[in-house]
Amino acid sequence: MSRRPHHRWRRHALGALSLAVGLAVTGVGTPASAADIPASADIPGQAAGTVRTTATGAADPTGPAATAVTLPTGDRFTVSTTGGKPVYMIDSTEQHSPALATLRLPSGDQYAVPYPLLPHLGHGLDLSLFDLDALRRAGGGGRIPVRVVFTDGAAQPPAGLTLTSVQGTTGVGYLTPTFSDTLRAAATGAGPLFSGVASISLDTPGAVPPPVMTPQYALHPVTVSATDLAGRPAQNVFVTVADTDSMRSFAAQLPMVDGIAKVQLPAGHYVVLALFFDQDDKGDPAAYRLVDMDNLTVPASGAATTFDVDERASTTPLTFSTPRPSSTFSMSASASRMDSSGLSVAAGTMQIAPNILPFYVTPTPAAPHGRSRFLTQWFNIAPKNASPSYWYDAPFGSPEIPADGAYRITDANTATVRNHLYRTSDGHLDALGEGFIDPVFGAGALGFGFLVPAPDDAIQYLGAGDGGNWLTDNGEFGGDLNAVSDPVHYDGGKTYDVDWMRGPIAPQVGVHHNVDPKQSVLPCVACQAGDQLHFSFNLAGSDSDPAHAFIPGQSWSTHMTLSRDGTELGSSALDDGGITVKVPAGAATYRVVADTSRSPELAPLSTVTHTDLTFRTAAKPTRGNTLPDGESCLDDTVIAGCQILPVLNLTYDLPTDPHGRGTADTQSMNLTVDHLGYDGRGSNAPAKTARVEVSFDGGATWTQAQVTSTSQNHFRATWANSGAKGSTPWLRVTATDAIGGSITQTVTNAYAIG
Amino acid sequence: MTFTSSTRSRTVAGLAMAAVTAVLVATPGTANATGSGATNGATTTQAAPVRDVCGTAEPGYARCFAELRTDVQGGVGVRGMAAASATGHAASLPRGLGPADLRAAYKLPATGGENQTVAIVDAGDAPTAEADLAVYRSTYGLPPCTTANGCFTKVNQAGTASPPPSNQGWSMEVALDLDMVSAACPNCRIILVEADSASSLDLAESVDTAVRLGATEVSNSYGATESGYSPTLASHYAHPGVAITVSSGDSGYGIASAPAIYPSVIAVGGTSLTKDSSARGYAEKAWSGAGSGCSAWIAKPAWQKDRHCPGRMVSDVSAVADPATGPAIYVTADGGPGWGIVGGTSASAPFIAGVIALGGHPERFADASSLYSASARAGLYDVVGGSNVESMDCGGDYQCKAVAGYDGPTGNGSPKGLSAFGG
Repeated sequence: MSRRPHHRWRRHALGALSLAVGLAVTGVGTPASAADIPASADIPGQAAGTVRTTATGAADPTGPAATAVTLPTGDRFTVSTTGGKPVYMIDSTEQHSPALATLRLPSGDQYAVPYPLLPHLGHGLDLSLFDLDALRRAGGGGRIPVRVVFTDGAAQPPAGLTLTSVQGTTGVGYLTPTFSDTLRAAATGAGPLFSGVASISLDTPGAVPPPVMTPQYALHPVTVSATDLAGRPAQNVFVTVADTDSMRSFAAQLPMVDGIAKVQLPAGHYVVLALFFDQDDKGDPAAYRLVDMDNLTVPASGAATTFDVDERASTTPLTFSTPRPSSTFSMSASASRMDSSGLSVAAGTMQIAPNILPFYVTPTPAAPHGRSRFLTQWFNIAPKNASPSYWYDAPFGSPEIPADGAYRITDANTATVRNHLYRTSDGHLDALGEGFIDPVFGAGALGFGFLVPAPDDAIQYLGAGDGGNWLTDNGEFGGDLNAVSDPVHYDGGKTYDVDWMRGPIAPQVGVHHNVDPKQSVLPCVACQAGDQLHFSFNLAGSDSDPAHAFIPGQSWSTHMTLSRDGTELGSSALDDGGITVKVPAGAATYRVVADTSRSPELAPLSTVTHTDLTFRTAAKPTRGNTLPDGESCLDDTVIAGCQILPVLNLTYDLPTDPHGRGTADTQSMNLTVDHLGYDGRGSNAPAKTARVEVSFDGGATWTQAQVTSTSQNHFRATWANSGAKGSTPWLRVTATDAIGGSITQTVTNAYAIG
Repeated sequence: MTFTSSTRSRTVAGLAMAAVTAVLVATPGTANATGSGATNGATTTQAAPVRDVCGTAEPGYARCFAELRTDVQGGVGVRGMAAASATGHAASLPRGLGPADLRAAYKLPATGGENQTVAIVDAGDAPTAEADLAVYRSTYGLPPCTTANGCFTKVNQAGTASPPPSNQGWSMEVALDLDMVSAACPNCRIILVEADSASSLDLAESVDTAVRLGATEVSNSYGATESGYSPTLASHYAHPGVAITVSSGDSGYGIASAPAIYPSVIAVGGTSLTKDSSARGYAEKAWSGAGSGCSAWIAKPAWQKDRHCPGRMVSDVSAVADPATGPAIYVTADGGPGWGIVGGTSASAPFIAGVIALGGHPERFADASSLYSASARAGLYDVVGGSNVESMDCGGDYQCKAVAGYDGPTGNGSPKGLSAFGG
């Protein structure tokens, strides 16, 4: 059994990524080169017909210009040109090889190498034999012209290779279709491919020889000269220079001295991001100015290059306006540039009141290649004593730095999120916050939180024009109720109501949405991959919103055990990362028993819970239960085919006042009985039964509520609030599904009678 | 309303107090928040847990290039045969390469250098330097080198014994320098020049002091990213007749580091050195952290002929620097563990200074040109294999990959006897 730490908090790490100060290159491999055959292969589809291996997105190339090309292995392609770009299609009806590695080299030629032959490249077989464009140029009517070098002049050519001339140890000839059988048979053996043969290569005047992997990394002197507003050498400037062809080659903040930096760079395209700091007469900061110079070139000629960066080009001020009164608490602005491999540089500022200075930019078009991103985020707060509290958090992103820097809140680009903060008593303070996840770079821009009174309402006006998701959270200041949310997407022009801390609060696995590994990491709560099974809850539980997960506070005590077919597999605290165990193959019944308790001093409701659930795993994986691509399955790893376990999830909707008090004579509760899910993936087995019981005497006796099914998986329970005013009834809910799963959950002090 | 930093989003916001950023991040899903995640597949030695002895340098200051193994806590006191005098029985030698290992790996003689004085330049006072050095030398059976016998001298930046400068936290760097010089040249005299601070100017002036006090070799295990300041200090590192060695840096391939870029110094790169069954008895390849780079501020010396760098290329020569295969050192100040293992090109620069001293002809090293001759190369192990790609990549070029012949991480190679060093 192993445990893993809070997975939820990995989202935090991503959110903070763009705020890390400094320079770092992480985890990106060297771009493919001639000597660097991709480890991944395009695997043609299984169905008969044609599968495009490299495509332009244009129509199928069925015109007369299409040319059939056959590899030495017998794999057949159609090569044509559409829209000026080559299109390559493999004929899978004539496909012989199980997989093909595709490679495009700087020459522009497309290569397709059958996987079994990869080890032999350069050891008997030349890459040119798999150059689709060269083969097309060679024509040959089914014969592939080749040049053969023998290690022994007396060696015989392999079957299917016909020599037309031999001079010394070099022969010229062609491959016939029968060579494919010879080649595939030879490729399965150990040792040299063909005895006595040093190499076989394509022999055609039209062939473009693959680039020789001789490192050519000539550097050229570049001077970066920065000029300030007065036309003098800039003293207060940060300059970042990056190779936009490959930031692995160069990306660094340059040390500027008297407005000058010098650096040796490889030829190519560059971006310069310069951030100037203006000072007033006293030497205090007065303004920031960003200059973004893209598509600069360092020529391969060896001539000295100068990048002149002039602060005077930065004249467009950034401003922000809101419909309701507000003042800017923070603003950020940054220009980012990404190369084709996904590495990026960014430069900008983040400012916090009261020291928010004017920020000017240079309007800059979108990057001509790779990607560029300008993101500014404004956080404006309401005047003091506004009730309810409100604030604006508005990110604006674009590939270009726009000519108009005046950003405005409108109905269309803003979502209104009305937060309803529940507390059993007055006088609490909650820290309510949100963090934006940039849809382009994934990493967060800024996250903010404010202390607001609870119980009460607080309104977030969240910018929706940028299309990203939000992570929100709410924590009781000085208390031990703290919850985080799954990523939430808000549409502009809409109003959302979100309840926080509305009970009953109990362990659940959750029903998760907005799963997008490019934006945030939401590791599977309960999943199985092969013989590894992981179970945890949505941290320590959820309130009435299944997107919320509670982080246990200091007074919390939690425990759970996991059993398989009656045998205990392990135990853990609920906030301890869960339980990961190795399990035998095949169907099984699992049981989880979980208990939570916490002090009633700070929050007297939902203080003790007991959960007893079972679920059955299927003998074979099912497609509907497969975790969405890219999400981590076990121990933070992405595993293809990871199965979401069919664990029942209960969502309670128990109407109370903001103090958690049910005031009606007849108490109602909507109950949703579904399963752990991620964006629609997960068990869709219908709920079979639901039972709700209420105890007004601390669990000594139980009264069964009237439960009606309102729709599939949805139930409505009603019961008489027969307890004394101020008493805190317990709830016990039992539900089953159609595939043998069950859950019984008891929540003490689930609500109060008001 | 009050701004708070108590929960997740607030933690993010808390970082916003840093008003300015210039960051390079990886594509979403593969990113780490900090540090370098790039791997160097050519390096076979396991990365050792280390910490930089010196933190990041502010502009105008230098950082030392020592890296302390945090997994090695060897305790205090004399080890080896010498321990018998105190405990009545010998104790095993400390972990890490000792002088005999280094001599064996680089085919160096045990004698020589008697008329040589190697200076090391460091920032701030190292209060236990002499005492720690005594433990090191005693443990390995090296002759005592003390103030009393005239072998060891410690001076401040002005060249006087007192007052000592304030402690700058460089004691581990000092110990590494002293121990590596001792390992290479047990019979050399040693001058420790303690600069007033880690400012580039103070360190540069300390080099002048070392030369004025009679140093024949001066080792400098520090540096900072080259900039417009760099050329202004070059003259401090030009003292014909005196060999001046400088660490190439510990951050892999990238913008070159000063003072390693100066044409008058011997820029010392780093290797990983492991015992094997070869005729040499050791395998050596580029250390992934070894600094290399092409200067944009210092012109290419006539004696450097590499093709792709139009400026001064770092480095010239190399020796072991990988903390995973690094030398044993002894240090008790600044939280030193007693016996430990420290790496970085802070190890290789003083070692090469000691090797030059052992050869006895520092006058041949007014610059590194003599290491580029065919005859000199015959006296070097050509280090082939491994690269120093940590963040920036030179696409397999010699500038960041140890190839046959000259390359950035290891220069022309590592010592193979003394023939390349005047011996």
